[in-house]
Amino acid sequence: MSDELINILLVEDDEVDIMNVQRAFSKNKITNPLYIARNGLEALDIFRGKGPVVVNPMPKIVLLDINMPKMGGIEFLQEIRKDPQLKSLSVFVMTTSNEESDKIAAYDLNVAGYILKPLSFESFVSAVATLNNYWKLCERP
Amino acid sequence: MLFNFSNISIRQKITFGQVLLILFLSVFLYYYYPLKQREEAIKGIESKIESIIDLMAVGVGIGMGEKDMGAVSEALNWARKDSSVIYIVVVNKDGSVAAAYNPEKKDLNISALLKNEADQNRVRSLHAKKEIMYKNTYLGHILLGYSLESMDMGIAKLKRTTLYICLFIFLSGFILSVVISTRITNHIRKLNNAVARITTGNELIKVKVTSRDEIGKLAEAFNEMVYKLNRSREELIRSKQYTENIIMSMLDALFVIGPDNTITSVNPASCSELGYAADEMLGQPLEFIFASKEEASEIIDMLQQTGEIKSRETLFATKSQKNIIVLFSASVITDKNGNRQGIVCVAQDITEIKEAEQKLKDYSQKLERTNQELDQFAYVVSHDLKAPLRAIFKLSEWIQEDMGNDLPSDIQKNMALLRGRVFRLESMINGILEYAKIGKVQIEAEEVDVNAMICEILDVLSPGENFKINFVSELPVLKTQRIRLRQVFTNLLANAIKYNDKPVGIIEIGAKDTGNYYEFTVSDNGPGIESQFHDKIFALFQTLEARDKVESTGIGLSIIKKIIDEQRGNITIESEKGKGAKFIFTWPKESSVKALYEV
Repeated sequence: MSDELINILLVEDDEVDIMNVQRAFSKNKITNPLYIARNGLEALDIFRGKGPVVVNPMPKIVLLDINMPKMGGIEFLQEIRKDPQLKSLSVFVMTTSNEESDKIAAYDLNVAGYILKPLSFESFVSAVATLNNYWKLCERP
Repeated sequence: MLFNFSNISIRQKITFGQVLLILFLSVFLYYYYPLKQREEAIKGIESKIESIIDLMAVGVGIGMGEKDMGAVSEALNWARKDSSVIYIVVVNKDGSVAAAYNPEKKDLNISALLKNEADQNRVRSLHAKKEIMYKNTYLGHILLGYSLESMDMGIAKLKRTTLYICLFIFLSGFILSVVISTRITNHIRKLNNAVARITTGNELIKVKVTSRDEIGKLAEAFNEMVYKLNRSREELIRSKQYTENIIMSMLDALFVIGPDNTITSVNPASCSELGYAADEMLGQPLEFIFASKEEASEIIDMLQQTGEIKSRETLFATKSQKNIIVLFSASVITDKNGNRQGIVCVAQDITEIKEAEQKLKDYSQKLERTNQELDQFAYVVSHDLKAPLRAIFKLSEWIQEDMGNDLPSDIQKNMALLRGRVFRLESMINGILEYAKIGKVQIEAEEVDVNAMICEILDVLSPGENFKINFVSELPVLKTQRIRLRQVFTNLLANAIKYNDKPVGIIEIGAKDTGNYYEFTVSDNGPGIESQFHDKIFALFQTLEARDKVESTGIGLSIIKKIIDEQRGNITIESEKGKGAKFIFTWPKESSVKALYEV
């Protein structure tokens, strides 16, 4: 495992939800740099080096919301799985959608996990802790 | 001949024949009878003359032989007694007249008389001659003339009488023959008239003949025939009327097409269907009723090839130029020898059915749209409405967290209340979504062991040590939508646990086989429900306790009710306040549930 912290990209449109993740990160003392894209298109721009935000190295982990303006999570997943340079990205879906169809669509697109955002912050903090442990364990190319 | 004998009536023939016969008889009688009578009379007279002349010859012979002329004249005088004797002459051997009796002084040619030459015709008189012999000596001749006048007068009288008789016979014979022939032919004429009336009109009449002869029997046979004819005609009319009534009462249009492909017969239904009067359709070609002439000729071709058309959807054109959709069937009519007689067509107006079908289609499309909208709505509710809720929840948490112990306890309590309401709202949204999803999502039936399922549910609900759960009967294994049955039991058991107010909660679960259904019961020893609320509890968002007291959305029983309704089962409650509650519901053994809005 490299000492270098992996860049994480959060694709989320809701400000409170962004704060939610940020707070959970700080609560869990996760120091990985967290970049924010407000929808699927912005996220793609970041990966393709087109946007105003320049991220280097490219984030290896994506925390993805499903319901977003302009380009939703499922569309974003479809885009990156088609792109040879992006298709190996680890994507964790974090959403409020409990829809069966969304879950199936997400897993069909090889997501690393599908996490329902719990109502309480406390449970979300513990979920993020688990995630952190998980991706620390995983070896990446 | 002026007239043809065979043309005249039987009566005239008979009368004519009889009259001819009587006439012949009369004429014969009139001529022959007096003639015969005269001959007979002449024969009588001749023999009379013979005997007279014989007598005279004897008398005169004696007188002449004895030369007694007195005796001769005496003998002659004797002849005077007969007034018809014209003369008596006695002639000597030498031809001279010896004595004579000739009161009318007739000029007599003696020699001619002797030679039998005189008066050979016997019209007016008879003449006789006799030799006078005495003792075998020829003495001369005696000549006698006899008048036939008196006899002829008698005959003439007879003739007259005969004529009267003949006339009488003829007249009476004529009348009789007319009467008889009339009587004979009367019956025949009656028969004839009856036949004439039957053949010209529809009248069926009986003939009254009382005689027992051949004509009587003929009339009887005729009446029998008329009776049978009448009966068969009535039967024919009845069966024709029956058939006509069927055709007339038919609700579907009926057309009969003749061999020339024109309409020969229609029924009232066809008139009302197409808006034409019967007369307007009769004689028209078959194409007349079709909206498309091409289709009409196609149908005719098809009929010629196959002989029938079954339930073909086609368009008819009405009088008001409107097209109606009909279900058209037709078949070719053939006689016993297979000759084509025409086509019989039946058409059912299915415009309304089609319209209804279209309406149903529109409706289901609309329903599908509504359904999609509802899906969309559910999606929006579950995400877009929940997102701000979560934000509120989290923000309140963060405020509390950030403020730490600086936050007064009443504010901390309010924050907790705020989060409680948010939590309730989220539960209610989830409940609505769950309620809305029932019946919309098709779920495959699978084998469900109810016993195992309830154990699973109780594991999740974890009622705690103070609850006793009893299975009062064996629970079945059935093939059904697992998730739905599970929802029902989960909600019922959750309620039974949640609302229980006894130190030891007792929950009993049972099942009963009722044929096509299982009847499940879930009973508890909780607070019970007053009967006045029994209907209310199944309504959406109805709770019996304030939500603050027992956290509840009021949607659980509504969901149960909707699921059971969808399964075509039934749920009832038996409960009294303070005596626990018993929920009884039926569940089909074979799941017949289909997605409600399948299109």
